[in-house]
Amino acid sequence: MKPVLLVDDSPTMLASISGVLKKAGFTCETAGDGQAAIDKVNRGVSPCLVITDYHMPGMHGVDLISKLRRVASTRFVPMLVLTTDSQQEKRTAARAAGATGWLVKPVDAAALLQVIRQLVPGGAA
Amino acid sequence: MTAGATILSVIASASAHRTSRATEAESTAPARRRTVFRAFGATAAATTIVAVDLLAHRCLPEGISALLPVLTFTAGIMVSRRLIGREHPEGSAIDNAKSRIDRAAVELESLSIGNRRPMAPDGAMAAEDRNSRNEDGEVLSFHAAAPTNAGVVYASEELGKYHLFTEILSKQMVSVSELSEEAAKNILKNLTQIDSQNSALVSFIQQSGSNEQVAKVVALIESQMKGCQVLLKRFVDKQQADARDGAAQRSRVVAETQGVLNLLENVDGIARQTRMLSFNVSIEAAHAGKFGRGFSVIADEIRKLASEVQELSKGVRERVETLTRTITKDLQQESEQREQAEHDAVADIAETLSALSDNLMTLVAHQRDTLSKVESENESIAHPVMDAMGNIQFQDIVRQQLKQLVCMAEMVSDHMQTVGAALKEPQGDFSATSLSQKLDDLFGSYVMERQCTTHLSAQGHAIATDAVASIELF
Repeated sequence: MKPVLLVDDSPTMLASISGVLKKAGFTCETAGDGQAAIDKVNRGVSPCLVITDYHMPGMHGVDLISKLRRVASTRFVPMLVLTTDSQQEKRTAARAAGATGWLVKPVDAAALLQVIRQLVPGGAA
Repeated sequence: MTAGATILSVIASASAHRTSRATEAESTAPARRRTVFRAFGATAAATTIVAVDLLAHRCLPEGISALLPVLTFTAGIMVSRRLIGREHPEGSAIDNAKSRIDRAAVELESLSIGNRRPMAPDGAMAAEDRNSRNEDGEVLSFHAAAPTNAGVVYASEELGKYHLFTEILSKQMVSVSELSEEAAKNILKNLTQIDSQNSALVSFIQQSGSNEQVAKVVALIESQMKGCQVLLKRFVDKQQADARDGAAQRSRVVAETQGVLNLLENVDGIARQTRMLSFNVSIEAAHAGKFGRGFSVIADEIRKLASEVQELSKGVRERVETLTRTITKDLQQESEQREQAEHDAVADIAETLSALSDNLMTLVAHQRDTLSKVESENESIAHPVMDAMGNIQFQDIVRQQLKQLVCMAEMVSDHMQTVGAALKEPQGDFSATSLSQKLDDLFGSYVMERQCTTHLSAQGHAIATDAVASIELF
């Protein structure tokens, strides 16, 4: 089963979301910023889903999505932005960049899993 | 404590604004006074937002969240006292503060006028206003004499020290952020450990009580029980065969005994004939007279021997008949009783085996129920654990809000220093962005809806209820 790629500069967020996903049967790959995520993809990590924060040092989440959309292995992979930011203009920009959805923290674990199962059918039990 | 400090801060802000408005109403009020009081008012407002935000999220210890408004308010009071130069023991603390701020305004006005130009008796500007102003009439720079007044110097120095408190506040907030991150990590670690141990336990129970495992054990026990039943049946068959053999043997013994009885009949017959022969010999001996006396004695002896043989035969017959009776009746009865006892014992064993099988099935069913219950309970534990893991996201939100508050505190501090520095200068430059503008900039920098609503709430504005969707799929 392909992993879910989690990108966030907060170790707590990475641990929280990966904990929820692992409990639901998914495997996870984590990256602390956008460049680390791109490096992982270039090294052969082929995710079934990307969940990224928006505000990160170096590269923000929508930039990361734009870049990953240009990589063959992640071209058609669903990508979600999970952020505290609820500004509409950023959502619009994310949509234009190829994001699949916008989730505002904190997201209930059950709601998050429902969205993920909708995007990755058969990804995990 | 925190609420009280916040209220005082708000009152100070309102008082400063009120004083400012009152002085603005007077056409002669100098712009410097308005600028200074706007700075105090806006600072108090910003402080209130910080305090309310901290209170709203309960993310800092009460003492820390109380620190900023208390410091601001205290600084305001101290500045007012110095400016006024006298004490007002009467009245409440709030009235005193308002009174001092009002007096400070008057004092500051007279000081600035005294330093720069004469003041008319009615308080109106007696000379041409030489301060440079923008289109709104706000003072951009003072054309003032050297700040010889001790109050102004003191106010400038005090404002210059404000950054010390801001640095402490920033470090405290960073410390709280780090502390909450560490706590969140520990909570996650513990949750993961609990979940892992719970999963391992359930896995073990599932493995040991799985259908396959139970089926194996049941099949093994059933096989052993079937083996026991086969052994039991074989034992019963053997016993029945032995019983039949015993009966046949008894029949043979009886038949042999009958043969002995027949032989005894022959012996009796021979004995009877011998006696008849002895009688005939006695008769012939009587006919022979004295020559037959010897034969008569022999005949008597022969008769006695025949009688003894008959007695002996009779005794043997009785013994044999007793033996036959023993064989045919007592042994048979004993054998039947033994067979019955064995049959009963076998029935008991079969019944026990059957009960054992039933108990085993009950045990298996109970085990399956237990397994089902454990799985169900595990499921009910798993959901809260997962929810708790997801709820750790709060730490990231708190971290970002604290970061924003640190920026806010630093912004206020920078502005205080700018105002303090401007007060020192003879021609103070007050062209820096006002705190009101900075508040607007701050509002524009928020990314969280909650930050916006808290800000508006602190400013007393109505809050729109049309919240944006927290999950949106494009």
